[in-house]
Amino acid sequence: MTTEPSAIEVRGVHKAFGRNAVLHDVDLDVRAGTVLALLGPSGCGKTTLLRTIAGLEHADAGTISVGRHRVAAPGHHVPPERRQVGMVFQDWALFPHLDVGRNVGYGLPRRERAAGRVEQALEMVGLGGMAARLPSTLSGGQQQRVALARAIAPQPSVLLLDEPFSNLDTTLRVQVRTELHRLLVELDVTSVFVTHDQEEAFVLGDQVAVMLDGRVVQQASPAELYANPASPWVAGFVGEANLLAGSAGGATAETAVGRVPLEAGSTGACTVLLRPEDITLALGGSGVVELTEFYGHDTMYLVRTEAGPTVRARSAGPPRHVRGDAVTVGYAGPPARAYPVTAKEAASPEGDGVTDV
Amino acid sequence: MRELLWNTISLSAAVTLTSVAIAVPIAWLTVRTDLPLRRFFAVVTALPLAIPTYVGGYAFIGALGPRGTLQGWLEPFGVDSLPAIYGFRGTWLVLTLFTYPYVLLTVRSSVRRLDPSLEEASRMLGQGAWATFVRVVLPQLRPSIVAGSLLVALYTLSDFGAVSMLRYDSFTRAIFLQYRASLDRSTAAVLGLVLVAVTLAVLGGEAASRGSAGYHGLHARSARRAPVQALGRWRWPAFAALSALVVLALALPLAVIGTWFLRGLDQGEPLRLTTELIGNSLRASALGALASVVAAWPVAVLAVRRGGRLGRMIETACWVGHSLPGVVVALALVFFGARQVPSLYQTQWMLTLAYVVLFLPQALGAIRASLLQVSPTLEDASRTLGKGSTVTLWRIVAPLARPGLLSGGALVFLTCMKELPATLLLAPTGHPTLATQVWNATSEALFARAALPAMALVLLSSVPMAIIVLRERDR
Repeated sequence: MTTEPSAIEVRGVHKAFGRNAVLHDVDLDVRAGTVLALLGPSGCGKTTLLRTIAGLEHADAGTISVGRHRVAAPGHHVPPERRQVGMVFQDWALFPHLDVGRNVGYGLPRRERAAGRVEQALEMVGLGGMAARLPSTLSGGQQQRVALARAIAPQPSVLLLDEPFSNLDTTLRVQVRTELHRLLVELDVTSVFVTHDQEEAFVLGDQVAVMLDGRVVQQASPAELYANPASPWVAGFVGEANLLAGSAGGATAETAVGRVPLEAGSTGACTVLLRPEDITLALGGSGVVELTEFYGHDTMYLVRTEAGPTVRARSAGPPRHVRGDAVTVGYAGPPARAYPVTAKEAASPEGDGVTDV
Repeated sequence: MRELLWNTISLSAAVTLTSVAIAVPIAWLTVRTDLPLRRFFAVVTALPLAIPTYVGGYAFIGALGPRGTLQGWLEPFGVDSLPAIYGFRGTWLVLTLFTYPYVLLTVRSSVRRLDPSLEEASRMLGQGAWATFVRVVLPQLRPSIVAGSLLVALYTLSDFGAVSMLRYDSFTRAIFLQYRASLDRSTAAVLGLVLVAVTLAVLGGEAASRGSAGYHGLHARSARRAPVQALGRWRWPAFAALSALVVLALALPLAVIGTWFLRGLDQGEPLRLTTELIGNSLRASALGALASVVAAWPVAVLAVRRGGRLGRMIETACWVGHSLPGVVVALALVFFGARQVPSLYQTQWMLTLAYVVLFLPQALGAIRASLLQVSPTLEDASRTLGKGSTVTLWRIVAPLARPGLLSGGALVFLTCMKELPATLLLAPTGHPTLATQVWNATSEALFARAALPAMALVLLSSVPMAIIVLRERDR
């Protein structure tokens, strides 16, 4: 139902509020018709980047293109109303004085409103027949769908979503997420959505761009990002990670869980990334189980190794060890990723042990 | 001069303190407790604001003054003199009774927004009801108490009607007498400047107290309704106290005016009240309200949406105008009009201009508050849906700010109806209003003649007052 999807290209965008720089030299590519997740901790600038693409913020430097149109460049700012960009706001921003139908029809020319476009958009989000209701009488999930219908009704070439699930309770979130996923696939519209939730980013994003302190530190597919994070910080942010101090000697490294094969040869002090699901536990040994956390589909163990660091291990099914069990910790995953330790990092206590998300 | 200064400042301080002492308990009682007839009291305790202080003064003189109604009733019992109503005590009483609603309205809206979970947390931490009120509730109400007190203090400094009628020597009366007696502009101007200085000192004091405490911007609306607090054995004493207040501030003035009206009819007093007087009052007030709202809208949008130094400066300038006593602004416009723009002098436009200078901030405050409630993301949403900023302002912001536009307009309308000194000095000749008519009649001690316009004035003022009070309840 949308027009031809457009690619988004962001090059070297800077943005500061007063003296406080929020975006530094940001590059971003979204291929036409794909979904990009902007993932980062709060305050990393992801919402600002989204608002800059929408035209709600002026970029201080750099260029932004949507399709063939250059929408932001030095001395050139296309106002938001002329960018043909749909946006779903975090608080949904439904106009409280207009009913659902008028909200959805707000961005449509009169001719299209008359042509049943409003009802059509509402049908798409499963809210057919609700046009006469006021937003305040709807549930949270329904309001979110109205916001979505309103954004897609004018057939934007690009759809932006700011934390689309953050105002929903957990039980609703998974359901709404699947609905949105299906809709985005059906619509075949280029979309960018902001989230601080790694799971959301992985589930919905064809690509994930990880942001930290106003920079895009890595953009890749979810699988690639999980397997090959660009830095220990990214590794910890996109999933549970054991980041162990190691000493590399060519194709392997010595760590607290023993000798581990490395994906790329390295020498000297390094930080080795081991995912919890690749850690094995065998009864008897010098490690001690400190905590057991049962999640239903699997169980997470926190184990203090003989060498000192605590390691997370995940295994399918119900708990097989209890607190205080003596265990041997091993590694049974693919060749691991190692990050050379710089002098500065070596001085700080971080860089070994468990990184929690 | 020193005596004038002392008179003015002591009156202002006394009225402000008693207003707070009356208004804060009422705000609490009418929102949070099981007071009998709570909803009724919620409305009527705010209504004395619809009675101009000079009408109140007139009623109290009529009732308690020498040869007044009460004296008449008591004479058969051998009471031949009552405590004097003229002077400090009478003025204090009258001004307090008819200005405390300023504090009541501001404090009550914050009581409504109090988050009851804070009080519950305090109770869980072992504090009793009274300790909780003092340690948790009062500090949260402080900004609104200060804001309401400021309104009362500024009003008292600038009040002209009541002090004149009750013959209390304060600045406004002295300025007016100087000007009227001798048309001596320089003495009046000097006195006016001193009064302005006092006013600015009060404003400065309020700003300083606000700077240290910090106003909370927008209170998050509490999620739950606050539980009703049972008054127990205080229930009926509270009821009695509020009833007494309502009798004093509402029933008594109305009864006195009614009595004088009947007496006037008996004496064959011509019904001087004509539709023309009402028309003049309504027209002047409507023009003032409309002009103030129109002028306040861009200032509010600028201040709320753009922020920045320019917005703040313009906003502050508007507030300074509001804090200036009406008699000073009126005199300034008289000088200005007579000398610079004689074509406008003695026209409706000059009076409207005075109203805008004096009352624009009342509209500004209401519009600003409702603009703050309009989330900026609504404007962002409208922009991403292809509407420019002008269309957005018109289709999204203005409709959502309509309650503020309405109540701001109602407030200015009400204040213009009651306004006396500027209207006296600037109303076009041959166009007396209800206010000027009441004043002229009472200053000649023709109480019966003043009764009907006073009655009409109170009735017409209670319409916008009712709008304001009912809107307050909706929220």
